[in-house]
Amino acid sequence: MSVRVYPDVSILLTLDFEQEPLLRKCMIFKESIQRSNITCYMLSSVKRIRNEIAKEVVEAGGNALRGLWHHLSMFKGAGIPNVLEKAVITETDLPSIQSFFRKKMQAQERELSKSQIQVVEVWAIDTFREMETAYKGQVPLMEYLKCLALFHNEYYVEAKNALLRTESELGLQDEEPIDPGLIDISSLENDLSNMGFNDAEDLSHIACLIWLKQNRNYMPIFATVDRKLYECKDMIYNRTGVIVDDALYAVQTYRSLTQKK
Amino acid sequence: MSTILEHSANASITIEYKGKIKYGRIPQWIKEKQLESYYNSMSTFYSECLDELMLPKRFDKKELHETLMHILRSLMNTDNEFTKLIIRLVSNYPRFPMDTKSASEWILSLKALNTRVAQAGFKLNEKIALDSLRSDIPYVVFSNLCLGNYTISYFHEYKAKATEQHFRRNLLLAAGRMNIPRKKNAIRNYFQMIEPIETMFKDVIKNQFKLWLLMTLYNSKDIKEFLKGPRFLSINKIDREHFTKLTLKHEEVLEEFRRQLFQVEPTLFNPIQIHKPTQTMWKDMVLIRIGGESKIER
Repeated sequence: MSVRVYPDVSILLTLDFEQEPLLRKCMIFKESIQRSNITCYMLSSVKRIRNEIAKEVVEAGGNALRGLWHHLSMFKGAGIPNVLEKAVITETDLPSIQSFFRKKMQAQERELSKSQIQVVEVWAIDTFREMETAYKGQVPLMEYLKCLALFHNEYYVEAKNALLRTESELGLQDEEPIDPGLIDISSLENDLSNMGFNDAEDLSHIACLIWLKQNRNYMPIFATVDRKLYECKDMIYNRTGVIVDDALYAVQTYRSLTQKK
Repeated sequence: MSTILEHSANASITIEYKGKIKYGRIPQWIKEKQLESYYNSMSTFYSECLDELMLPKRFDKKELHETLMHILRSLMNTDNEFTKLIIRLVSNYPRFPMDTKSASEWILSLKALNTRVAQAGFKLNEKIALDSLRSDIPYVVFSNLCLGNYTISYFHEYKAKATEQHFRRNLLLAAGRMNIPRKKNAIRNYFQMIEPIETMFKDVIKNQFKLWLLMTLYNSKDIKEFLKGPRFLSINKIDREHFTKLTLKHEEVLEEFRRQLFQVEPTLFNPIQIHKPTQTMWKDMVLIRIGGESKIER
């Protein structure tokens, strides 16, 4: 891995990718980057956070599946392994499965984890529907749970593959790691929280950008598709010097700033 | 138990593990069938994996090694297709002088091996799926083992593809026209291309196997239970420090290997088929596709 730190650009662009409903903006951003021939470097915090998100999601879904295994084991086979091997689930078990997931979701605090449990619930119902025909309504319990866990692991594989593809599509290059903990942003965090913005991952990116500005003299631009973050742009700029811009216009801003220089 | 051994035995056919320590005698039938080099290599693989692990005192490493070798012998004895493939690969291993027939055989054998590894990987992933439910070990450890199996299959796919391309370009098409130094170079270049990634692969499969051994052995009270497979894999029964080190190492070597494979053959990492009704819900979390149409369908 290279140990250079952003040698060719004076402005750093980063993008909040977690807003899939606004994927179109991400695509426009990507196309502008490619058209302008801008070299992109990946903030180590972005890579770390994306990996953590993948882990958190798989852990939440996996735990929900373990809970379902336990729930159905007790419900269908009294927890006895040889009874479980022969146990089956039928249409009448679906309400119990659904109510299990609802409870799991209510107990969860993190939004990402909540969404993943919802995903697993949809799989659970859909997988039952698919297997129901093949097994004439009597779906073997362990076979059913195995299918759900297999799907879940496949999603993880796909998530990891997607991370590699995204990095490659944007031509991102690895650079020296920056630890967001090096910068104390607690007061900024409070102020942003008062304005209704409290995305921990984005705050880590902002901390990294502040570090780069202070230590490497760059003028960082945070390209985002997050409306809430965009609304705080003036305050963030006044406090930190980090420019927050809409992903649609970030490249344009970058170019106008480099021309001025 | 046999699922993971079957997978590692298949995935390691073309890999040579070299070591000084040799355990036990090689059965005559293995020598007669010219399976000796593979048998020795696997013996080294198992002994290295066991030597590098800190195991509970109730287990004797030599006894465990003998158990693993016994299962391997059974596999070699009962699965004729498997032994035939090993023999085919050994007898057509690229070395100078290499004729067109041997080159074709080598390519075809690698393709057959790729299919076997993918099938064994799928079976193993099914087992991991069930194990992951009956456990309180962080779920991501199982998902990473599954990711490792996928990556092992990607490697074999890459090897078969890259070998075919290289040999077609250098040996097969120009077999008659090429002079001896060029033919020698072509074989040397082939190994120069394959070896760096193969070295990384060895590290991945070793860490994958070690991690599985560690989780299973700490959760088994004796070899009998180890062979049968413990009913529940509990985190509390495993040496935490050793486990954490090993999982981090596994993640690290896997990540590095995947990046390297992605660089040489990005098409291996194309979207896999995913469950349709939930794809839209999932994609806003981690499956971010930048640009292009969605290729995920079922």
